[in-house]
Amino acid sequence: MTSELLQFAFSGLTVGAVYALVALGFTLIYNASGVINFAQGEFVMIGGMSTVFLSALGVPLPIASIVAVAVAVLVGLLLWALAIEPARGASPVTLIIITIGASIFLRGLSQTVFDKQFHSLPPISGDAPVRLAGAAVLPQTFWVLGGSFAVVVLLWLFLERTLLGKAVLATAANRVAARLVGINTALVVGLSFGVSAAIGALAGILVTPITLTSYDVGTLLALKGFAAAMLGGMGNPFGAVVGGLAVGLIEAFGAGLISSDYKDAFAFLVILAVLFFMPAGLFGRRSVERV
Amino acid sequence: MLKVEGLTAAYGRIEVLHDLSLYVEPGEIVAIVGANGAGKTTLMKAIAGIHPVAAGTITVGGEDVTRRPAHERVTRGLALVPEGRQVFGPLSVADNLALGAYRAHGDVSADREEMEALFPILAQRRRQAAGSLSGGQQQMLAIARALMSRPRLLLLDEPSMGLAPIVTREIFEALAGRHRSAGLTVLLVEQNISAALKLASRGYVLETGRVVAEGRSEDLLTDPAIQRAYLGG
Ligand SMILES: Nc1ncnc2c1ncn2[C@@H]1O[C@H](COP(=O)(O)OP(=O)(O)O)[C@@H](O)[C@H]1O
Ligand SMILES: [Mg+2]
Repeated sequence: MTSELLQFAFSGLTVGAVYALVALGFTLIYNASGVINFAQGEFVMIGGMSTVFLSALGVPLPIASIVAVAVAVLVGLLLWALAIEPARGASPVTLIIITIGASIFLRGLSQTVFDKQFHSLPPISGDAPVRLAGAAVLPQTFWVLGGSFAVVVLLWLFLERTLLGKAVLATAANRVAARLVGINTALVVGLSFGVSAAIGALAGILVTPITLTSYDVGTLLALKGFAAAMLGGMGNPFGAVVGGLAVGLIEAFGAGLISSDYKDAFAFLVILAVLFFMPAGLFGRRSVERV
Repeated sequence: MLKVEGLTAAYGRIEVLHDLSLYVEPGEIVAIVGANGAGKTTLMKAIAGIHPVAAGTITVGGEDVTRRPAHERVTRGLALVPEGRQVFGPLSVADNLALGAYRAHGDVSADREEMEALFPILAQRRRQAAGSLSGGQQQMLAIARALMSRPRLLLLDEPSMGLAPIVTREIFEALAGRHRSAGLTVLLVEQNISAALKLASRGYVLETGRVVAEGRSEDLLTDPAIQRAYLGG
């Protein structure tokens, strides 16, 4: 029984790490612009699918992965430059609808560019499970957890240790004051789209060997990442990580102990519970700081 | 230094500044006074580039900046301390100062030390979140943050708002000191008319979006009409 629970915990943390990265992407863009980018899941899909198709063309996996991240960043920047930036000054609701449109468009486009099949990638360190206190853990799990941890640390260093990172935080805290000290806040929004796309694509590449990918995996990932960001408190990077892991664990234990038929319903339940019982989430930013 | 000519600005269809002109010479402290709602904040926002200009021109050091975005006006030497201070609340005092020098090149630690000498409380609160400071301390931080960009013209929108008289005096003395020692040029908006005109050498009186009087501070202070309208005299 305990080994079974440990098994649930590992699979929960693995998918949870991916939700956490999606939620971080939501958080970055939301903080810079007030926009909730529902095309965030498509960045994950683009990362996975581009790597799959590049390696099918014979491109070595490491290079395919780097190019795939670059493709996602390009898509993110185009989304910003062609759809978000021209609509500057529009209400957040309008901007959110734009991102939903972009998400549908990107799904349709990848159906044409790629295909409608499910695809996998070879795991980085083989597929012989590692035995851990009775649980069988795929080596790729450690790549997902380690890679996500590295992303979180790098993002933290960027935000806390560089002037550009502080400009991102300043824009999130007070956009008008940020402009008054000379920050080009429109570019900060562009930067946040680029970084979010890179983070999403990396998540997609790392998790594809475990969960597979297809043109439409972005929809559910966006939903679950959104649930994670809501649970953690929209706008709080730390909350996004905690929320992601929590949604992953809820899902894994729920599917394991209750029924796997309802696996995807738990994220909805999390969203509803947060909306009803604690709209600010676990670590919601106190609104007084947003002048 | 600054020349505003025929400035008109609106919120939607409601025009709140009408064909307004003023200038500031290098090394001057100029005050803009007027009742609540006269358009002082809108004027400062338009000069800084965070409120659109419907008509007229804004020239800084001979260059027309009317169409330039706010962040580029900082590099032309403008720095606005906005109404209500608007510090970066979640960020530390040190980070707020560092961001003030966002557009500066090279080492800014000497500038930061200068600011901490000007307002010693900022040195004591260096690692604290700016949002946790008192109102007066936040105002000092907002001024120091603006000075970190080494502005040619400092724009101040009601620095005394909501502050105890003793704190206001401390801030005004620091500004006067900066003016004497570094030749700081200031355009100061105030409802506290007598304090503002004592600090400034010249002033403009604004009423419903128009300049209704201008001149040397002494003359404005002794003008019977202004005394009656604004000083309760
Ligand atoms: N955001 C706004 N939307 C609409 N009208 C505004 C806004 N801000 C100010 N106003 C109006 O513009 C006029 C000038 O306001 P303001 O520039 O803030 O004056 P002051 O700073 O002198 O008190 C006032 O009539 C005010 O009601
Ligand atoms: Mg005002």
